[in-house]
Amino acid sequence: MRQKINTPVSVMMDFNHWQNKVTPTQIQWNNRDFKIETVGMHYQFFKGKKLFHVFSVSSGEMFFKLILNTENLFWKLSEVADEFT
Amino acid sequence: MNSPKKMLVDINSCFATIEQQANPLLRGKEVVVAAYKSERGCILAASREAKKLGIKTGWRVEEAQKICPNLIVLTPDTEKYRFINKKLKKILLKFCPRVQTKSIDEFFLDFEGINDDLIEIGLKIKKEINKTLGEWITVSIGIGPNLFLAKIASNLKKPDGLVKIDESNFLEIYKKLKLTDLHGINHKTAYKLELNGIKNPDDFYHKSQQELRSIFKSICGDYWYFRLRGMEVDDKEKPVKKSFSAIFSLKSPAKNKADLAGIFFQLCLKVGKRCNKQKMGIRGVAWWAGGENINISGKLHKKEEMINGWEIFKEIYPKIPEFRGKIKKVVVVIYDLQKKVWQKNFFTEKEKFRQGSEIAEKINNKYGMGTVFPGTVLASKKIPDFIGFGNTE
Repeated sequence: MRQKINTPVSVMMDFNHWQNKVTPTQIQWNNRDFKIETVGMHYQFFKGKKLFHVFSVSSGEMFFKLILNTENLFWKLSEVADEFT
Repeated sequence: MNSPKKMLVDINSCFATIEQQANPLLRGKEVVVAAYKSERGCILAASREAKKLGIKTGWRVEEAQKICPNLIVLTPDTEKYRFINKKLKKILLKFCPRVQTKSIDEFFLDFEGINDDLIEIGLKIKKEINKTLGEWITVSIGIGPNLFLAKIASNLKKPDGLVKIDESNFLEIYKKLKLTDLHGINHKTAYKLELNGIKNPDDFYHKSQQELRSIFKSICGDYWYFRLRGMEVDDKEKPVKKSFSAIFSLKSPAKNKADLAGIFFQLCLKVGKRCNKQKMGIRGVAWWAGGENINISGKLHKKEEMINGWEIFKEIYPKIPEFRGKIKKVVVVIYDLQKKVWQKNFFTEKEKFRQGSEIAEKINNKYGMGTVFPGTVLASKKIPDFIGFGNTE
């Protein structure tokens, strides 16, 4: 199932200054922790002058679309899907 | 024949593979990206796995679901596709200074004056795409003496192909193709050619310039003569656009004036924005909305230029009638575009509206489309962002 959610979410990030790489490593949603195994895509878009970073990630059996609002540095879980989507 | 210095890079199953790249759980599955998820939604891209089952772009979702009941149907995520388009262009610019975006998934590279081996460059481009965009996104690369043959070469091997057409192999390739495999020949033209004894591209190639001119009854015959011999006729400078249009098919029909006005407003903003990019003013506008037993249309031409979508909508709105019925498709076309030259007149109502609309545009540019809109469209629905299939300019 695939669902648009758009809810605040807790995200743990890793910044590797040797590789210049930022990666979400874990999220907490619905009182559960999900370890991020794959970052499928990272892209940005502007809404007006606000910059948003989108991380399409997977925990193995779940897919999450995470959006970081760079104006307030708040994270939102925009979409969630399972492997049967 | 010119030496093969033109390259065409085409993302395989563009929207579908981008979705599979973003979501690893979709990889290896039958996925389509359709305009709508509903049964009547038109398929915009099918993944490699779906294509293997025979599912094609342009089909209705219900047709594809008959072949594959477990088909995964997604709606377009335009931001993602635009991002990949820009990023791929950046990669290609590392290898060639002349890169032209032909469409959201196609790029044309002109290596004229560069003596490197294009097959080697093609392999490097593939490697860089794999590293930067992701392992699931692949491209087919065609190399040829002109854009036309480069396009044919890119279609010869899909997915992940790299094919070169040059003097040594072009006749062999013509013998294997059908007329409709040639870019620019549809079924109607193929039928016309067959009536004149041209049954395949090989016959087409062996016709003289005079014969082709008399078959096409225009200079198009000459163009085909040169095109098939590897001479460049398609890489012309883009002419200045004479008109812009925006079209939208509604998932749930508009049933009243307020609904329809909202759609018109958003289409007006779209065409107005595209026109503004080219720094043009607008003199003519035509509109059409239609559906079951209903047709609303009109056009107007003004001496004084309109400068943005707000001004176009201001002209259209009073002419939208109250109606009964279901509107399913809406079109706005702007034409007679003139270079923007106007004098400010501080004492007219028109100038006040113009200043107001310019401020509204600025606010929308800063805070996102739809932040400020006219009260007349308050009750109407928002149309989703969409990507056209044509040239991205």
